[in-house]
Amino acid sequence: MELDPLHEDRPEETGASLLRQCIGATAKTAGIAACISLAGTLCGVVAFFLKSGQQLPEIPKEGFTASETEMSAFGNLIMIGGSLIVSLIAFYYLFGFSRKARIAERQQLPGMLTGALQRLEGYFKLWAVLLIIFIAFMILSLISGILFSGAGA
Amino acid sequence: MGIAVYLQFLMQQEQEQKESRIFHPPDPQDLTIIQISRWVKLIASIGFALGGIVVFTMLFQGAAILQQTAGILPVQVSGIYSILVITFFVIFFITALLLFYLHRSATLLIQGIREKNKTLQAEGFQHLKKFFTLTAIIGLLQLIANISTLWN
Repeated sequence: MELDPLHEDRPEETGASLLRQCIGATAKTAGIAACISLAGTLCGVVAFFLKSGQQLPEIPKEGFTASETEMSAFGNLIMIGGSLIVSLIAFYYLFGFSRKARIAERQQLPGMLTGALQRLEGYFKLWAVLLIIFIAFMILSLISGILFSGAGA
Repeated sequence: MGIAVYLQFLMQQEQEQKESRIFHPPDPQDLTIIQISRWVKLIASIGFALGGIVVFTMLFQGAAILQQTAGILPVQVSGIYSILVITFFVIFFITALLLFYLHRSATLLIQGIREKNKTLQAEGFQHLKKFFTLTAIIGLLQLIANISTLWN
């Protein structure tokens, strides 16, 4: 980006203005990403419920009792519900960041910009916590797999 | 004697830093950007570690895993194995690119705060913008796939 000749002798202002512009541009893209992501999740949830409501041919579930089949269906429901909740929380943080940052950039409100950045922090904190939980589950299932295969042998 | 003078100098420096923090408190915006970069760096690090595990697994068991996957797919067409291999590489490289943007953004933000360089911080946010652009494209593809599922 070229330096504004009126502010060439004040690089701090140029840098601060460039930073505000970049945060504003990031906020705009983040808002679009948040809306698309939520729309995709909602479509997926609707598709799941519509497809599960359809009449499917009876497939004999050899080796599985009726209660086990019901449990796996319940598990799918839990997963869909969980992904919807996570999407909604992520949308709240990301869209909140987008809205506040754009207002702060237009009206030059540093306090609101800090609030917007706190929403962005919350968004990344959410995904970091989910990743850690996912890794913890992976390790637990690995350990239980090793223990049960050892007990079975 | 020399050690006592050195210790006195260190304590004086610490006192001056404390006073400086009282009269010039850190900018809350800078503190928030530091927190953002820490969480982003954590996500990127975990992502790179998981990516390394995937690479290691696929190097030794990749062919068997992809052949098993090709076998259990509901759609059976000729060349499904090659399609799976290409799909795996595309997903892998897109994920690597996302993690690269996150890592670069975190590095630039922290460096910008340390050197009080707003241009570096701006560059960090530009990498975050690229991350969100790629996320939006992936979200759009997911949306199209879900809509096509709804219509079928």
